[in-house]
Amino acid sequence: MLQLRTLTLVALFGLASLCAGDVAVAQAEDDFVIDVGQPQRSRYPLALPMPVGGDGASASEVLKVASFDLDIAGWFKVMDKKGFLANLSREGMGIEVEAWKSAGAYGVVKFATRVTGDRIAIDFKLYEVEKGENAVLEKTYQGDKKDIRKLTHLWCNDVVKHFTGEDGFFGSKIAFVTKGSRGGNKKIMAMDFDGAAVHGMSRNSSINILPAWSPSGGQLAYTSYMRDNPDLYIVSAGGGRPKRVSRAPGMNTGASWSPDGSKLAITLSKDGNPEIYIISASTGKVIKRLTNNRHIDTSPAWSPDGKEIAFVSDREGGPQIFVMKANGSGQRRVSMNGSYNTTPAWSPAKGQRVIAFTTRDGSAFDIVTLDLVTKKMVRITQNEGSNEEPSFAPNGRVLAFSSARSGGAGIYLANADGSGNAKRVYKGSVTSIDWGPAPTH
Amino acid sequence: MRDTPSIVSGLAFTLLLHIFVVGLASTTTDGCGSGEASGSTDFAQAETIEASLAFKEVKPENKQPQKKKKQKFKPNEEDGASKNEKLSPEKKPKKETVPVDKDEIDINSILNKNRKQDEDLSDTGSEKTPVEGSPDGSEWGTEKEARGDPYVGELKGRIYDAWKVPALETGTGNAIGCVRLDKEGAIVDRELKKRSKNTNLDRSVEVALKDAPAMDKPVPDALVNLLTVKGICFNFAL
Repeated sequence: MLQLRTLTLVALFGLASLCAGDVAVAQAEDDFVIDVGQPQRSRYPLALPMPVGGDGASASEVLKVASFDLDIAGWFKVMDKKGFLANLSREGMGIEVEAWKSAGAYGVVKFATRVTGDRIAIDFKLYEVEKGENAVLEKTYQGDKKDIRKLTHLWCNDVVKHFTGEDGFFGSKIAFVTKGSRGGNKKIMAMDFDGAAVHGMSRNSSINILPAWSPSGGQLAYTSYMRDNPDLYIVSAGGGRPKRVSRAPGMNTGASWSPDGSKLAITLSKDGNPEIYIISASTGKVIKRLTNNRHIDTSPAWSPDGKEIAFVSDREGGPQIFVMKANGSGQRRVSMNGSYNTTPAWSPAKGQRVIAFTTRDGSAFDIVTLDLVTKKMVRITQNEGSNEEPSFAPNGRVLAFSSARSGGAGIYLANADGSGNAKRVYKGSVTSIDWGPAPTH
Repeated sequence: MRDTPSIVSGLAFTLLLHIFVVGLASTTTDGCGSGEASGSTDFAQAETIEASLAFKEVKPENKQPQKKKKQKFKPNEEDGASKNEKLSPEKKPKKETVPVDKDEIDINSILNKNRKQDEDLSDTGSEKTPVEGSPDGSEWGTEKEARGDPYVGELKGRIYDAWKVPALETGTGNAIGCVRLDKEGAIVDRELKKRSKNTNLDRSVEVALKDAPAMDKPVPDALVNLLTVKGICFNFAL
């Protein structure tokens, strides 16, 4: 019996050894394959062919809007249609996989517009060529014909969500200040992030500056001299009569909303020199004074988590970026390079503690970002004229800023990681840029 | 205690069972974790490329006769050895041998026997000398990825330069792609031999194998069989 047990053990041992040997061979074979290393990263090649047939004008508009959106998103490389090899007439809303593979596409967006009177319906399909000829995302949007851009933005947000899980920012708005038609006056303006639908937000002939969208995007705070003193006003995003919220003697400027929209961080100079306060967004009543010194403290920017406020102070000489807790404690300088750093803006990107600001570089100004955790700085602009007042897209991946450069003054958008070239979305001299929240559907 | 015939019959049974087990195992090798093996059989031999790279045929007569160095004996005083030649060494106590029950198999004796055979094999094994392209030490170095051959290293570099994964892909996986060259060094055949289940990775490998430019030089004679007949495979991992 003992012998049989021993034999069984030996037999099992032998079988196990052989299996182990096989695994070892498999591993060894893997070892024989040459390891290429870690890949370079690139944008996702995405093809957006113009549909054949249908309403050509509306299709052109959809193609233009979608191409811009997906390109500026930072994830995608919208492919040149010259490289398309597919027979679009034969494909219709489907795809012939090999034709798109040969063209180098990873993904293909197909769409068709149907116009009936003032109404439009847009059918979209997204394909990943590696997954074959079945669409991975398919939606139809309907609305008024005038909303064709909005409907296309919705689709592009869905595409970004499909690939990244993040909310897109297409359809969000940017507020800014331009010179008015009368000498010296300034107007608050707003537009779609891609430069479309520019319209005025302030309706007076005075000086209006420093707009700030509320977290919901439903309101806009700004400072206006319409009653001689620089007071703080809040106006509905849809227009209407602005409400004067803060009218302390002296400056009521640079408002920044708390993430819950109930409070504003603001610069008041009612006691002599500019200091930072927290006030109620509804009543304007001072809740707390955060800074108290004989230097200038200004340009507060509330962090996305509501725990910190960045601001500018000249307490150590020239203007520098400081950060403090939202109750005013723990004030510390965070900009260590250069003698002139202003206009801080927090990145809304989740899990990040990054601010962008304007830094003086010689005689020009440039945009940089600073990671408050790693202390890593990234230069967003360089040798491209003067660039100021950055503001992040709602997902933190793109920065808008004003620029006066040889290519023309205006509002430019650039990737927040410093890659790629900036794109102009508004022509003209502007200041005080503020990018609003992501649109709610 | 059993008699001799029963021991003999027991050993015979053991031998038969061994043969049975070995036979069974060899027929079920595929079921012992051979892993994924998708793809066509065109590149079936491609995984073993380094074997041919590492051990190209070399005649044993190329090997120079080696002199064996005698090791000088150095007594270690820390161990209690003495330099006094007049002293006689202490007698070591004899090891007590443990009697083995004849009914049981002496595993140690089997292992020792096998070990002896292994050692014999290593003593009389390959006399081949490392040559150019060998991973085990040669004038081309021992870089694992390139398997020591600069031509293969250049090919790898060209494929690497063409390999770009979309930044939006945050998943993992590994795919194996294989290529075959013509004698002039152009990639004429390519295959995604093992898919990763990560479609963006798989697509990036397909594109890399398609976009990688041709080599500047013809395939060296020593690599013609490997690169133009068997093919060569690369691992693309995220």
